Amino acid sequence: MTSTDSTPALRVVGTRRPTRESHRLVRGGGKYVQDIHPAGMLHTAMVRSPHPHARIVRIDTSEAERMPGVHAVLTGSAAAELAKPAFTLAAFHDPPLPIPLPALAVDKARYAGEAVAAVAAATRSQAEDAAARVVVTYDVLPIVATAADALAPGAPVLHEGLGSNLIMSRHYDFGPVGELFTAAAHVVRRRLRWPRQTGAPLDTFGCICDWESSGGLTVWSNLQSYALLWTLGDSLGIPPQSVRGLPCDIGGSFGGKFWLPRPILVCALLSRITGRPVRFVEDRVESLTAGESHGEDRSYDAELAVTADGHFLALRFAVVEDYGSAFVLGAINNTEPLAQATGPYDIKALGVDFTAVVTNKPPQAAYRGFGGAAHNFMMERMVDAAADELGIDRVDIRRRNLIPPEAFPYRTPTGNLYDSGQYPKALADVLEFAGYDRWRRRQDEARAQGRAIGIGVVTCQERSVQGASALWVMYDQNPARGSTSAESVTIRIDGQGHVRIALHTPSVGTPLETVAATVAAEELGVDPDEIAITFADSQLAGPGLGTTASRMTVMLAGAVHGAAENLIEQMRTIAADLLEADPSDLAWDAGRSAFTVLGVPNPTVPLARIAHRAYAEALALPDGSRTGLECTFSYNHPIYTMPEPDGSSWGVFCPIVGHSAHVTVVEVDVETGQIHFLDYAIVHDCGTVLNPDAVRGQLQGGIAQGIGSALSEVLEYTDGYLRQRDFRSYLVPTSIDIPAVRIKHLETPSPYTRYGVKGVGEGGRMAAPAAVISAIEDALRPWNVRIDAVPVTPEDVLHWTTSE
Amino acid sequence: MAHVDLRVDGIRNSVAVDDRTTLADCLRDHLGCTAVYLGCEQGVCGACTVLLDEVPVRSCLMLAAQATDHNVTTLAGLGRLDPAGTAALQSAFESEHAVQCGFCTPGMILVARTTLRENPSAGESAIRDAIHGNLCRCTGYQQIIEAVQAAGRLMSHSDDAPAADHPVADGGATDDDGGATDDDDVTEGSAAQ
Repeated sequence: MTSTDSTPALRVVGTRRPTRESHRLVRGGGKYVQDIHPAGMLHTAMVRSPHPHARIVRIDTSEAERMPGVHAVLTGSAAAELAKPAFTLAAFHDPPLPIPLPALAVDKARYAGEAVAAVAAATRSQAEDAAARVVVTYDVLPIVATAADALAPGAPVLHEGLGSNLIMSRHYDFGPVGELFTAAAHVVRRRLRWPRQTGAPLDTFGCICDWESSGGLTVWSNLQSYALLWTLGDSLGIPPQSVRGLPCDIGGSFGGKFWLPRPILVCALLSRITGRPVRFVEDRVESLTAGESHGEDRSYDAELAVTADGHFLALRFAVVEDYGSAFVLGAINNTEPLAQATGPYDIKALGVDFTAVVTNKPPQAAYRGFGGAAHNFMMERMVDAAADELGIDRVDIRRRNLIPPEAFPYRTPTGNLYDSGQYPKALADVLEFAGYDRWRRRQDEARAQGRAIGIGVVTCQERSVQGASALWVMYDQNPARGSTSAESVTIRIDGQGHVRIALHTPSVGTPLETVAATVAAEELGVDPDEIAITFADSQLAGPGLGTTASRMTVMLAGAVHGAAENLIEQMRTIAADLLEADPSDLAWDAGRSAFTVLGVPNPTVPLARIAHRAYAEALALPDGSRTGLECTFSYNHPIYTMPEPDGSSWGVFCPIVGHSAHVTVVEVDVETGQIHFLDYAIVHDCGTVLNPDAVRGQLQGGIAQGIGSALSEVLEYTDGYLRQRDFRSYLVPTSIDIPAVRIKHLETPSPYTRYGVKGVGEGGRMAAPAAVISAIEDALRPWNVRIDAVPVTPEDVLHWTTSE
Repeated sequence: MAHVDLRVDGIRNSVAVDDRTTLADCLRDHLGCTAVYLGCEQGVCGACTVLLDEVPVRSCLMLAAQATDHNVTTLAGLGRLDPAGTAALQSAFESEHAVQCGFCTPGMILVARTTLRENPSAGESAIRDAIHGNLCRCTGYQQIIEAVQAAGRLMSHSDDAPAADHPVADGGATDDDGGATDDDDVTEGSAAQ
């Protein structure tokens, strides 16, 4: 936990350098799961329920089994005899929630598209042809289409063991919520809606399973974390330690590929049955309709208690979350946002009323932010609403409420900390950077000409690197006593003094290799381009949660730093012997990649010399040293505390918190409904910037997804059927939809992390929707429009501007 | 069955596939092409983009049989077709951080090469427009556009351009791949949404 005050000037961290990953990928060297073909591999096609809710009466596989190329047909009930349902976070609830997630649907299909059977065949087209010949007899059941339907009296029940469609509900009062609302001069109330959306990476989910006759299992997949692989053995009835997960290049994930056990279990069982490796890769329609990778889906009834002069006293909201047909990641999409529930504002009390329901839709996964985009949207809409209702300027009201820099580390009502920040400066800087006053003048001139220009200003938190309790804190107890949230890495210095790093978590297209090489070069003084980096498989991998929740920069930097420190100490013993000095009199000079005697710049003992002794000169090794130089280091979350048993505080569970201020300028074409970006400027604080181009890429990319969330992306269900089934209707932004985002970095280091870095991966998407919507609403002031949901489509704009 | 005779990345291939086999599946599954990816199989995302006689096409929307007697170039063979242009684009994509997950990258580079050939000094809005049929979920496009502009500048100083970085093909043709076909043949634009 070194503060940057005591860190010497950085040589590699923070410098502008190309990412290592690019070299291979620009030459077409990416190898994604769809490119992996072990010998004898079979292809899988899923048989999917056409009904959102139906009992599975009978499955006749006889014709399919006879078709050319077909090796096996697996039904849900046959799979259930071979494998237990997958592990989900529903199991951490006490008692475990009876919401099973089996490989294939067994008794009922609970969403349209849920897989009920699977075919393994020699070619993909043979598998698809055979899947079409599997005859399933359904007993159609009434549909639970919405959260309201789920809670209605007499609603059909999805999971009999649960008894109703209510998964769980919780009420929290952090601080004197009721009193502050009673005493408030004014209460702002809004109902806000955030619909289902999804990361929709170009690379859909896929896996290849090879069941070993000796009883192990090899899995290739584009999962973004190994954590699921560590649970598969239990599901499959084989020793968990015999499951070996191999990573591959991942063409994006954005949260959707964190926990997808069902296709893996299906392929594992088909491999067991056929004796061949078996592959499944979703096509685009499957990915959208049945990929089980949708994000948050909720309504907020929110209230903000304010004083007459616009100071925020307390926030409370009732959130109803439609989790779909299962509870795979538990309540994580509602837990994580509460790390930053009160935004960057000094709000003393928070009330949360949380209701989670099941419906006949695919189960939620996560989408870039774990619910943070929706939460920040709610927060910023409430702030804008407060400004409007009190007649205060929207920027001014933020100024009055931002947490001041002297308040850090700042304790929020939930008990979480904000580690560091300069929120007033971020706001002031972005207004200047954006030319805010000039845009306001141009807005006035435009209005006089009948054009609708709008400016949105938002100030948002970007929490990163959650602690272990994010997985279970809403369950009130911790049956696994889980408090570890770690990341591991292995570094070997070989006999020639070359550095080899094995990462223990796959990259989703994020520059993990670059982060590791940068930190190793910083600490060991080697050339980052000469470091060899590979990925350990899941059988060897140490503790880690995966590339998720913007955690890898912080966690990998910590792990690599820890391993490097350990290696330096291993080398110290040998170096001291070579320098004929006491180990405690030696200093490691990273810049020269060598030991010297403290205060004596020469002679040096370089790393390569030490390595040679460690590998080749066993008889010359001093006491206390061993042959070889290697370290596997598991870095724990740097600051994390357990929640209070009485629920009064969630403890410090996500304190590495970035921040950004966005100024978005749009012109709304009131005749076509189109939104044009005139400017998009942000001041962004993710602490120390480790690689400027990579950080910029995460922000530009995250904001692009946020713009998609605001303007065009939605997964809408009509009576249980998804309307947006492919890229012609699920509209992800193209290059002509996204502006060039102007970025100014504000680096307020975290006092808790190596180099003061914070996470940045999710940040752009967590703030952009609020900014874009605020700008549109500002543009449409003459029409008195209040925007309480996303996306805002051209049809919406026309409805507002042309209706009587 | 369709008998398909086509040149891919300079290598002449002769392969028999089902009539319904797309060019994308033929390239990937039968001809071992490693830089053609499937993102939607509906012609929207552009990840499957290849050059057909130097014109970008969505290989998922073509039948393999339609490519008979044509020249197909994937990113892996672009360096053979256009050493200077490929080197400039690869160098610029690296230096401008235009690559995150890499899935859209082959399509982007092939379309970018085509754009720069037609308009070496293409500006931001021309490039932005040219690539709007190639989806990217990672970058938000800006660094890609800047990379293409940078490549254009590198190519206009072509005497100083970095050496091409591509394997030399064994056997195969030594003749040119022929000029571009007419614009009204199958193009990326005709396959746009």
